[in-house]
Amino acid sequence: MTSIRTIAILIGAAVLALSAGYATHWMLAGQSPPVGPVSEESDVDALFRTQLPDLNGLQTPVSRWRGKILVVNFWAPWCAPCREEIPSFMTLQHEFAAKDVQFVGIAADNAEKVAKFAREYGIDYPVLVGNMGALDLSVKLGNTISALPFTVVIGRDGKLVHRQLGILKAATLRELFAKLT
Amino acid sequence: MFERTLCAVAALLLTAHAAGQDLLEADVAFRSSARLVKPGLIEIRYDTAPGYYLYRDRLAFSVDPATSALGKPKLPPGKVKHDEFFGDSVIYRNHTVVTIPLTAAAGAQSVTLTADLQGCADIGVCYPPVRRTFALSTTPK
Repeated sequence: MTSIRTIAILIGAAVLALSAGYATHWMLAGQSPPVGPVSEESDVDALFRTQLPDLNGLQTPVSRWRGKILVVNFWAPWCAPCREEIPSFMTLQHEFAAKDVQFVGIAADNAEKVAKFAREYGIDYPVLVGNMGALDLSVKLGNTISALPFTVVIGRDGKLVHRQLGILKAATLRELFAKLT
Repeated sequence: MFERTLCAVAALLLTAHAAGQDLLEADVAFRSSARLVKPGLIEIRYDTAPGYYLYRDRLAFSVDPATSALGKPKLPPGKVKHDEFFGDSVIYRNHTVVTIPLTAAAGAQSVTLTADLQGCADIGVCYPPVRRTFALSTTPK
């Protein structure tokens, strides 16, 4: 009976240790959990069918960037981690502009709040105002829980090559760009 | 034989755990309930899952019909969370109880409380604002 109890305790300890290990891994690596397999091509079609106003109110079709290496970042001013990754996106936009890389932000908030934030942060890549409907579009791309930030990377051929729920590290993007450019 | 069974159970547990790394839906991460604890006083309870938190400043309340009125919510102090990019925010974790005085319209048997909340997961994602409604009798049950 004692040995059974010992084994039960050991199993419990192993499960707890594994839980702590997983949590520490994600936190230290600054990664987000996987959100499942890459979406079907039709999800990207929904993105390319989308037309949203830019910061000047001009209706802008996402398809205008078809054929580029497109990084679409869903974000919102109310999302703290979104604020963390945007500066690195601006840096990478400048660095890789000549290699046909295009960042586009799709914001899940109203035009006034998005424009204010974009001004304060000096976001110099295109930002489209999606209001809360932006989240529905992100769900079509695989953001099953409608949380932010959520980012997809689409190749020149229009196929989804990466998607990420949570902060997308510059190092990860550099690796992707190295393969795609 | 028994040891083998235990090992199989352990393997199942570990597999289930690995598969359970997905983030929670907002409805599960941020559970809330409301009740009238005594005439003229609403209590709202938030049960936030471990690893998730709510922003105090994102809690908002309103009542319908508009002829009824809410007093000033009594919010617990919470903890200050510092974020390099977001500044300081007061947050709530685990169990949080908020009370709000209610002045029900004359003759109103019930009111509808609307409670807004917004929160994030420590892992580095935030959920959009959530709106919940609660139908409350104006007399405690």
